[in-house]
Amino acid sequence: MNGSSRTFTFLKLGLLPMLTLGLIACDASLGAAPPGGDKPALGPDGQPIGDGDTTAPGDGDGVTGDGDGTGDGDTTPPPEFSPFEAQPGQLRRLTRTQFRNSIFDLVGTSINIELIESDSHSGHFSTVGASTVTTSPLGAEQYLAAVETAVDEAFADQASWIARLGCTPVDGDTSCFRSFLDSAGARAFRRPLTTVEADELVAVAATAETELGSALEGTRWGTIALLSSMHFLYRPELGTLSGDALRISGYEMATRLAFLIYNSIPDQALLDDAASGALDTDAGIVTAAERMLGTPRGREAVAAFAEDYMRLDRIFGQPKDPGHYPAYSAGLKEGMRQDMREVWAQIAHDEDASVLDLFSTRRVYANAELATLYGLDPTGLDSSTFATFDLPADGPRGGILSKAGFLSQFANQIEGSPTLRGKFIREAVMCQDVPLPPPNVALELPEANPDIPTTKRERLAMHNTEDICAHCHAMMDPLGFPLEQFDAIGQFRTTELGLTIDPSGEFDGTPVADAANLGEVMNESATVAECLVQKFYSYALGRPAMPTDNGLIYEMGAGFEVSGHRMRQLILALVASEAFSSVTPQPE
Amino acid sequence: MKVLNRRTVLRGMLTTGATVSIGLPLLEAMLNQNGTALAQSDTPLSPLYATWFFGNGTLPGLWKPSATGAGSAWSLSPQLTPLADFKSHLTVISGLEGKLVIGGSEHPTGSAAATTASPVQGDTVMGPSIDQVVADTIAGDAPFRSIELGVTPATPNGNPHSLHTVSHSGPNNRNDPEYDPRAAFARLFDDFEQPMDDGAALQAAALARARGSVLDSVLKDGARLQASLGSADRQRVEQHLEAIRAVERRIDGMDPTTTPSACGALTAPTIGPDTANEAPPELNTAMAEIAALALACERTRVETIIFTLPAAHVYYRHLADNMNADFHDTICHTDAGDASNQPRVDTGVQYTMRCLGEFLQILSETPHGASTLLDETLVYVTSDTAWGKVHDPKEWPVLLAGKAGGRLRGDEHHNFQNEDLSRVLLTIAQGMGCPISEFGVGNGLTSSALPGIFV
Repeated sequence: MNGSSRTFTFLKLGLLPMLTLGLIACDASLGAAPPGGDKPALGPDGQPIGDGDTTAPGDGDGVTGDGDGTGDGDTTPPPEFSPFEAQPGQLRRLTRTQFRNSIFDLVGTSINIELIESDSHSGHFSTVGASTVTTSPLGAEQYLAAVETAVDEAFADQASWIARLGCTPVDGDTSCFRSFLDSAGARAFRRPLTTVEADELVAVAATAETELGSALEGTRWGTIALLSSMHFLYRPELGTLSGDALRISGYEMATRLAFLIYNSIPDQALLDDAASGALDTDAGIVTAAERMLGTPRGREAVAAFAEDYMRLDRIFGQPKDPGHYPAYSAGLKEGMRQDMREVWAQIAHDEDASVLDLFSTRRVYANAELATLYGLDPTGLDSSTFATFDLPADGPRGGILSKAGFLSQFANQIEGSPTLRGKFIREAVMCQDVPLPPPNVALELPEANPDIPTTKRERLAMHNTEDICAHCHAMMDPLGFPLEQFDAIGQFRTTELGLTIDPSGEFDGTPVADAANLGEVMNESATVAECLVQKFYSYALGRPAMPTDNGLIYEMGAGFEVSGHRMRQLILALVASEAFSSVTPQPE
Repeated sequence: MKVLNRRTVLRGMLTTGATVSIGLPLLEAMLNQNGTALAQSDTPLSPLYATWFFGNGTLPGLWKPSATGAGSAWSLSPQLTPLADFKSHLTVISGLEGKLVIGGSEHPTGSAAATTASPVQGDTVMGPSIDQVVADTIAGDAPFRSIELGVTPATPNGNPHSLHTVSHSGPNNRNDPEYDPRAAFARLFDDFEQPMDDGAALQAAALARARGSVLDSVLKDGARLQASLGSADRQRVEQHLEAIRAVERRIDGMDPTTTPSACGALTAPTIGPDTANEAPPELNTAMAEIAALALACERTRVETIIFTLPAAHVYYRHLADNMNADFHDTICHTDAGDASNQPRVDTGVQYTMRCLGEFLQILSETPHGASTLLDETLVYVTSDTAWGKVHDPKEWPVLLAGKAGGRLRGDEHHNFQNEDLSRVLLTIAQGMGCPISEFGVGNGLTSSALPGIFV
């Protein structure tokens, strides 16, 4: 495990004793985050869910040691961290999902995100790539086309369009469109429009009225202009002077909270909070976040994070070999996406249970196609009708890593890849870097003898007789082997080429028997919990975590553990933190 | 002046369900008496440029011609044989080495090396790609500064940007290809639709003015946004605004009641994108035709055609029963054999070169000025590695097709053994007339062009 100093720095943090928790719990930023979140949970299908088993796991410290001796001493002093440093203001582009959600909130129609430019996943999350990505010429045209299509669709139903405007446009009178800009325009820009901005959009509407003959047409083109604006697509969060330091302004904070918790634009209440100055204090921010988490849209705080963290976007670009996988269909892919999103949202948001429970949960959320794949009775379901199920507690499939939406991503069109599955777990779930493979390695496997079939595991073992390969593969393959009982689209299997699959593996030094056991072990893992804090921190701030963030991440990790690994607590701690509200000027 | 009948040439060209008829022949409408310049502006036609990229490399032992020289002194190698009809228009450059390639990250760094001469930092390339550098000089007033087309989206799905395209305007500044021929065609040629009785024309003009006022508003809003930003983000917004200005210019230039169109009424292709990641021949044909039309109709002067992406996880199952396997993972990496003998790899490379040959064929049959598109264009053909099996950075595939308006002689094989791949990018840029003396970033930076390539 040489050459991965960046993550080692953090990993060592995780080995420090939680002795300091009492001290940390008194920290104001954490004290602002009470427990709660005990609402009865309803799935999107309206059925009560949850088994009430929210037992907080142990810290699992014993399985994460790296032997550096920092682990277990009760008298180890609190770690020293570089002081936190505020970072320059950002200009994030809305992610594809945010763009879609925001337009839906404003005009009620949905764009096809596949028809707009890809997000940059530089830094794993689309929310991180968003602060550096530059829009291509084709991308710029795609935004224009998507907006025009969405508004045209909304406009096609004139009664509902007028209802959305809140007034009936009268020829020669721009007041109706102006009032729409006061409400919807302010949500789109996440702040009231300036007079100049409003006048300009009204002028577009007036031009269209002249050209196309009605004030109603004017509102259509004025709305197209609003949603084509740079101030809609990009989020300038540059701060405003607060005393003698910059601080994220109230409206910028409303934007941050809205995209973090709703993955969309602010609602009116949040804009009102910004206007009243309520978002100028950490306590006010937490109050607003708590309110938002309690709304139906607040589930996106977890669901959108899960979608980005688990890279569910990749499912849709992945064909499978139709000869091997006739069941693979558009409906199945959508089922995979929803299953992952919803189970995260149900457990980590609706029930406010330990996020680590996700690794061992038996819960699935399936449409007809996915239910069939999971061996469940799809009666009453179709492609777009979903239900929540609990898989058998003694079955082979347990936890989010044995969901089809994970398994199918790390597989080619025919075969699953234990190496790639293990690599994702190691890097994204454990926050440990796998060193680059050495150059010029011949990946050729021993000549296959068609009379003597071999399993993937056996073939990898042959491959790994050389030390140069074995060292790194040992970081990946044993994490992926338990998932070998699931094929390239996530179907359960016990044999490969007629041979019995050995699903045993290892997680961070602990032997595991199979996928379900892997999930149980991960459910107890401090490494996983700490990594999740680091990932969420980066996701929320739209930038990679840096050494000067380690102190805050450590504090949040400690609070997270004390809370029983509840996302709600982590979200509130994060929005209350200095990292969320501080900002420095952009370099000129 | 001999007037070529462009209508005849183009009709029947679109074999993928698209048909085409030309309202007014290009040569009559737009060329001067020498057939070399736009009649309206008297501007000489620039040489045209295309990057034609394929993933996963070649078998260098079958790719590299055995002898160097010109004309009969050299012969095509086995993997170049599908291009036999165009030997007179090929300039093979062998022996180059991708010195920016980083072990373990060979495909992203190889892609960046071959098209940007820059390293990969984090997930981004650090410099612009050759097509964009060439566009700085030759794009001129073409309606589209450049276009990017892809035959298959098959990808290993990693985060590095250079796995997803080989056209970059700079760091974090990808130009991703369009994979849907219908969308590519609509983008390039929808302006040419002329349904147009008087009423429809008036309506279209009114809509264009409404759209124009939207774009004006977007530009003003963007300028205000820029005023609050530091230089880096100001530049990000500027690029977006420049794209909006290009849209505006195209709308302004489209006045169907007064401007005759060189390309007349085209019929859009009906074939959709490759959803099975198998780069089927029909999609190559569709994209090759669109790419040629875009050049012929002066919609753009700079193109990137990505046949397969770096490390493409493509399945050539339509080629043979034994080809239904992941070309990158399984066939290139794990098939037994050496750099001259991996039969399934050879099958894939031969197919790739046939598909390139089809593009060159269409270019050769499409008149441009007094000659053909193939004579006027430089097609830079390269890949993200030399030999996919071990990611060998030596013997990088580099092929220049076409004559770039007489700047290339063609029918030559040059060898520059173990020289830096970056040098070919500087060579191309200078050959296309770019007023630059160096190309690349960091360890890729070179100020030494390869001698003897261009006239």
